[in-house]
Amino acid sequence: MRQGAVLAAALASLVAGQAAQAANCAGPEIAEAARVVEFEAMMMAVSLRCARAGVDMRPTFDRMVGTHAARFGAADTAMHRYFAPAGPRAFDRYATGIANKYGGGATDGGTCRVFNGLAGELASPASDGRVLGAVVRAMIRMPEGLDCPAKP
Amino acid sequence: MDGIGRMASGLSRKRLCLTAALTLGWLAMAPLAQAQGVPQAANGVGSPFELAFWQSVGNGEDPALYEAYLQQYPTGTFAPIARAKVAALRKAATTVAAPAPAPQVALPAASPVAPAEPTPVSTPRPAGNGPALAMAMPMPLPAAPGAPLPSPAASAASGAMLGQMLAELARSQETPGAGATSLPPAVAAVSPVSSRHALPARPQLAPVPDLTLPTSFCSADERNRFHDGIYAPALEAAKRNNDAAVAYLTQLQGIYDGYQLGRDTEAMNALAAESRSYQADAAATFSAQAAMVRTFDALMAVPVRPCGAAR
Repeated sequence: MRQGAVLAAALASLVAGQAAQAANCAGPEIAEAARVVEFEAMMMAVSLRCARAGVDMRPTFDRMVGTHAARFGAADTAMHRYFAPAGPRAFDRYATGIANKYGGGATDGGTCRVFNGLAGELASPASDGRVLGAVVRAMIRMPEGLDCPAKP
Repeated sequence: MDGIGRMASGLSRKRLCLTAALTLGWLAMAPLAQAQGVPQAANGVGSPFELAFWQSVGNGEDPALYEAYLQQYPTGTFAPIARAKVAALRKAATTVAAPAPAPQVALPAASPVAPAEPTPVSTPRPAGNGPALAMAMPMPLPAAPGAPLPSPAASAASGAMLGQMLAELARSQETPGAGATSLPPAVAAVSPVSSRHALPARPQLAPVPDLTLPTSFCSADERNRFHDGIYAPALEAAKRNNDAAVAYLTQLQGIYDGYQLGRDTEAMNALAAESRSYQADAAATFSAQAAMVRTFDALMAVPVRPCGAAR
């Protein structure tokens, strides 16, 4: 409980520090959607590995996805639309690439507990969508291939 | 700086340290795994968190940050450096006649003028999973729901620190050797190939009139007039359409083969897709022309009957 309150405050400071950064991208919708999709894929991969490591964070992960269902759903839809002109398999290739990227990470019990705590914080019904955005931007790098020039 | 200013500054620094320490305290579960025999990272640092912690301390001039690191990692990779830094900063602080009080961050492991010693600090670590640094702090926990957030400067600093740690956390879950996610541009069937090369415009096809042959001609001259005035223009339109379609496909092939696009696979794929997409149109123009050519034989086969006779 105390940890949660502290983390929430720290994450709020993260939001404040990143607000200006996000508004400057030439393709903010796709950039944001791509990172949200990648974040969800990473968390899923980690939760599956953690289950094998003895830390079952899948219920927490599911709650996190449920709390931000609209956000995750919108990001998924946006990426499907983005890849639609390139053919029906383009999104699948993209998703497979992300899964491969996080398919072989180093996961142990300690890391799993950290991820579980993070997912739990984001799963809170009171979790602000801006916090999810800040965490996503902190953890997921800007995908290559997007034209998002730095602020002049 | 007046007294209030100093107090505010000290409070700000204290909150910064506390916020950072508590955040790291929450993340202290990861170093617990280190104590349980988790192998070191490839760079020799105990864990990504230790590295992130140390990087967050950076080249700061606040001894409390280094003490916080020592509290968390008393035998850490950077512990000797941290002790030396603390000693130097404390020494410098005592030589400067600064009336401002030192930050009131009470860390039992550090003496205000502790010399740099190679032996690790023997501060007992908490046995549970609670935040280690939070337990060492005599101050109440901030940021309960509704509580005021730290000052903007403290927020930015602690936010940057947390962001760095989250980034390290995510990197630790990447498959070794995996680079940044590449998001290829979605290429439509008809769209600019790239910023340097664009698909040529599809040719405008002329309408080809439907050709209905009469059952008979009044005379050979009438057949000739039909040929010249109706059939020949229709045949010409069909031929032009087919020629344009062939030229378009040839143009696409030429661009595809062009040396400029030798390394631009996305552009080549787009050209190939457009070529495939246009095949049906090109086939239709060829069929129309072929049908018009075959119609010539049918035109010549239309019988000539004297005018006034049944047609």
